[in-house]
Formats: sequence, C-alpha cells, structure tokens
Amino acid sequence: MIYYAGWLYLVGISLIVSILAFIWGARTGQFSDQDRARFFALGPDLLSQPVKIASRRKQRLHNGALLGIIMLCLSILATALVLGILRRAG
Amino acid sequence: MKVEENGTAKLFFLSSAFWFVLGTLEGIADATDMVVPDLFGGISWLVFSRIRPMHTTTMIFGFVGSALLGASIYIIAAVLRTPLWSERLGKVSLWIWNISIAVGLIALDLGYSQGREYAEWIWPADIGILLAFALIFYNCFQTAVKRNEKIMYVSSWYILAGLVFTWIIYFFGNAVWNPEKGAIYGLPDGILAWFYGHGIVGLFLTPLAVAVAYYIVPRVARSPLYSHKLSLVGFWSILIIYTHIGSHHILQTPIPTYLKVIAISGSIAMIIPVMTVLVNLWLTMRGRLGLFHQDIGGKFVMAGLVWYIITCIQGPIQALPVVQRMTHLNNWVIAHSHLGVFGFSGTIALGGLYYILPRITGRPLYSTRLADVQYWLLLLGMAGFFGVLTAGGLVQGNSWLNGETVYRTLPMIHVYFVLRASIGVLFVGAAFIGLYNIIRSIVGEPATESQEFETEQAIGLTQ
Ligand code: HEM
Ligand code: HEM
Repeated sequence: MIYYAGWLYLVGISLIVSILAFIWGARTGQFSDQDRARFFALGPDLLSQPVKIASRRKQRLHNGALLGIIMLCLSILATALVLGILRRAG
Repeated sequence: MKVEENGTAKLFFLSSAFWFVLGTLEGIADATDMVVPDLFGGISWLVFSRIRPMHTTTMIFGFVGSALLGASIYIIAAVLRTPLWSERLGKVSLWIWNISIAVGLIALDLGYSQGREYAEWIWPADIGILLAFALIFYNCFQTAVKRNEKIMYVSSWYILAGLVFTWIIYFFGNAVWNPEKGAIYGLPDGILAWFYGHGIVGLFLTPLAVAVAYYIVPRVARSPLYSHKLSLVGFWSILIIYTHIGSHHILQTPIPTYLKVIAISGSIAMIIPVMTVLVNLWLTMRGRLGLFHQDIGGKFVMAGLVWYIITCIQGPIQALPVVQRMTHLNNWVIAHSHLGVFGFSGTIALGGLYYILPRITGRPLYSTRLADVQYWLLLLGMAGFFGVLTAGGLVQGNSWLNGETVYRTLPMIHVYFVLRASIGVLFVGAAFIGLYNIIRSIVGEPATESQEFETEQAIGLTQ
C-alpha cells in the first residue's frame, strides 16, 4: 500500500484544493443569486441585436448529418459491447 | 511588444491554426508510415517513433490547447465584466508557450524524449510549459480578483480550476524534480504517468472546452443558461471524480485491485458531470437550433457536443474489463482518442475561435464559406476516422482473443490503415483552409463576400 502512497498524495492534494475552493465559494456567496448568473454569458447589448436563422434545407441537412453520426457511433459501440459479452460467455 | 485589447487571445488563435497544420502533417506522415513502412527509408527524423509523440503533443498542446487558452482568456474577462489584468503578461506567456512547444517538438525529432505518453517533452520544455501555465493562471486569477461582477459564471470556475489542476498534474506527471529521466520508477511510475495522461485530457482539455461551450451556447441561442445551479453541480462533481480514475488506462497491469475498482466505478460515475453539461446546454439551445446552424462558431460547438456525447458513452463502456479484453491496446482506443481530443475538445476549440475572433478584430471572418467547408471536411473526417479505426480495432481485438499471431493480423487491418491515411487528407486540407482563413481574417482586408445565405431570414428575438 505504502508503495503507492505517491498516488494517494496526489488525489489528496486535488481533493484538498477542491474543498478549499468550495468553502471559499460558499463563504463569498458564489452559490447565491443563481437566477441572475444564468444571464452572465449574454453581454449587455446582445439581446437587442437582430439574428439570422438558417434556411430549413440547411437545418435539415445539418440535423440529419449529426443524427446520422450519433446513430452510426452508437451502433458501433453496441456491437462492441455485445461482442465483448458474447466472447466472454464463449 | 505591441499591447492591444484581446491581442493575447488573437495570437493564441493564430498559433493554434499554425500548430493544427503541423499536427495534421505529422499525423498523415505516421498514417502513411503504417501503410508503407519502408517509404521514408529509415530517415531518422521521420521514423514513426519520433513523429508519433510529435503528433500527439502538437495536437493536444499546440492546436487544441492554444485555441482553448485563447478562448478562455477572452471569456474569463468577458463573463467577469473586467478587462484582462495584463495583456503584456498575456503576450509573454503566449511566447513562452509557443517557444516551449517548439523546443519540445524539435528535441523529439532529434531523438530526445522522456518516453512517457503525452509527457515526452524534455525538461526545458516542461519548465517553459509550467511557467506559461503559471503566468496564464496568475493573469486570469488577477482578473478574477479585480472583477466587476461578484458572482463567477460557471465558465470562469472551469477555466481557473483547469489551469490549477493542469499545473499540478503537469508538474508531477513529468516528474520535473527528476530532470534526467522525467520519470520515477517501476509500477508507481505507470500509475503516475496515467494520472497525468488522463488528467491532461480530463483536467486540461475537458474543463476548458466545457467553459467555452457554456459561454458560446447561450450567446448563439440568445437565451440564458437553462440552470446555473446545475452547471455548478457538474463542475464540482467533475473535480471530485476525474482526478482519480486515470488507472482505467492500465487495468490490465498488476496494479492493486482497489485502484482498478476506484477507476472503473469512477469512470461510470463520470456520467453525472457529463450529463449535467449536456442536459443543461441542450435545454438552453432547445427550439433555437436554427441559430446554431447559421452561426459558424455555434455550429462547431454543437458538433463538438455531439462528439462529447459519444466520447462519454464510449468511455465508461471501454472502462469495463469485459469490454477492454476486446478493445485495449488496439485501434479502438485510437478512435476514442481522436473522438475526444479532436471531435470533442478540438471542435469546440475551433467553435470558440470562430465565434470570438471576429469579435476581437471587429470585422467578420475573411470567409464564412471557407470556414463552412472546413467544418464539413472535419465532420466527415472525424466520422470516417471513428468508423474505420473502431472497425480495425475490433478486428485486432478479436484476433488477439483468438490467439492469432501479429503477422497474420497485420494484413487483416491493412485496409483500415489505408482508409485512415486517405481520410487524413481531409484533415490536412481542412487545417490549411483554417490557417489561410484565420491569417486573412487577422491581417487582410475583410472580404466583401456576397450574401451567402440568401434564403435566411433575419428574425427578432421574440420569435
Ligand atoms: C466519461 C468520460 C470518459 C471515460 C470514462 C473515458 C475512459 C477511457 C478509458 C477507459 C480509456 C482507456 C482505454 C484503453 O486503453 O483500453 C480511455 C482512453 C483515452 N481517452 Fe477517454 N474517457 C472519457 C472521456 C474522454 C475525453 C473527454 C477525452 C478527450 C478530451 C478522452 C481522451 C482519451 C484518450 C486520448 C485516451 C487514450 C490514451 C492512450 O492510451 O494513449 N477521453 N478513456
Ligand atoms: C491528418 C489527420 C490525422 C491523422 C492521419 C492522424 C493519425 C494518427 C496516427 C497514425 C496515430 C498513431 C496511432 C497508433 O499509434 O496506432 C495518431 C495518434 C493520435 N492522434 Fe492523430 N491523426 C490525425 C489527426 C489528429 C487530430 C486532429 C488530433 C487531435 C486534435 C489527433 C490526436 C491524436 C492523439 C491524441 C493520438 C494518440 C492516440 C492514443 O495513443 O490513444 N490526431 N494519429
């Protein structure tokens, strides 16, 4: 166990840093007023600018491409999972 | 040194575009090497073992890292409603960063390596990278101290935490107190190396990419984030879980069982932080996808999030020992690497770059059409890479389990290697297009592009 102590120190350091930051956040009110925080990415004047949306054809093409990719990848992953389990049984 | 507003972010973007070109050339060189191993005739600086670490580090630090750092420096100032603390310091860190990358790469090409994955760069380059991270952190931290907005938006949490953790893992992972070897000894070194290797994708690329997505998605959607509370739950849970699951890379070595158990259960628990990000951003963009298809930055980020879903479904599955018997140490993992490092973080980095750059220069991109061509090349390329490498990996895995010898397996996967090299050409083309577009956007006159999207309509926000 002691042989691997270095690893435990590292995880310990990471956890301590995280906990300290969390305590600081809680003390300085970082977790309050969360409804206002939702708007922070939007600049002060962004919402008043006109926007453009893509044509329906372009939207269909892009959505189709992304959906196709998701389906393709998920079927590959499912195949691997099934193969892995079958091979284990065999 | 010229000091201008957002000059640091702009130059980080330019550097990223340059490293992307170099990285794809290295990638295609290695891919070709695997198809025609005798092609380079033993030229020492072109051998696979030198170019491979050059490719991975150029991509992780040079291309994706530079773009994410540039975007982060811009974003932290924007969401804290404060200018960057010091543009001068930013530029100094940029140069230290780029010079260190160049030193690391040249040394690798000359045959000097620390020999541990993603930590191959020699000691002087390590020191430079650590210094650059420290200066960038200090700059962002001082910006946070001087902030005009009391509450820190979730992106700033991710950026600051990403920088702190990357510094820690880089320092320990490269064993910088041991300049000769950059390593410790025995199995603990393997554990340390994968604490590092995993951390560099999970605690450097991931938090910064998520920070960029949390900034760009609400802006392109013109809608507030669905829930800031949920985003913070995701942030704190990733910090707690990600640091100690690196051992899932070495499940098939004699490391202690408790480490394996922690790594596997942590990998599955990763679904929590990942889902908080994806659900939150999806609910923010729902009903407004038309805006994303139209905005080139938004489009890249959206595709990056799709790749993130797939990476993080694949990740926990391949952390299961029953699956790893089939997938470990073959091209399956290479598919996952490209999916995570390019598909997820690289694509979001490009989204950040294309969204932010015109806002820095104050004029539109040189050509949105070129960026669009680049987008489709990369989307097709990534899908092709994933399919081909995963299929090749399964063939290898199956042969492995059947006790096939290597010399009988190699011909079976030759076709996948040929396909990988061919698809790589799409990446190379895309990288050159990107570099040209970005240089022209920064230095050239803006093109008077004819209205590209005639059919598109301007809408008001109420719609
Ligand atoms: C839910 C999140 C994730 C989990 C559970 C996960 C799990 C894994 C596992 C188990 C491996 C080792 C596979 C093997 O060697 O057999 C691996 C490799 C890898 N992962 Fe992930 N992953 C996740 C997300 C990511 C992300 C977001 C990235 C990129 C930003 C990424 C980049 C990589 C890379 C580069 C490797 C290859 C390392 C190497 O062997 O060289 N992963 N991942
Ligand atoms: C021109 C396009 C590309 C080609 C031809 C290519 C080719 C390669 C090759 C041949 C390897 C070594 C595989 C092995 O050792 O079996 C590799 C590894 C890797 N590449 Fe690429 N690559 C390309 C683009 C990219 C991009 C865009 C990224 C990220 C932004 C990237 C990140 C990586 C990483 C992280 C690895 C290490 C994988 C691991 O050890 O698990 N590559 N690539």
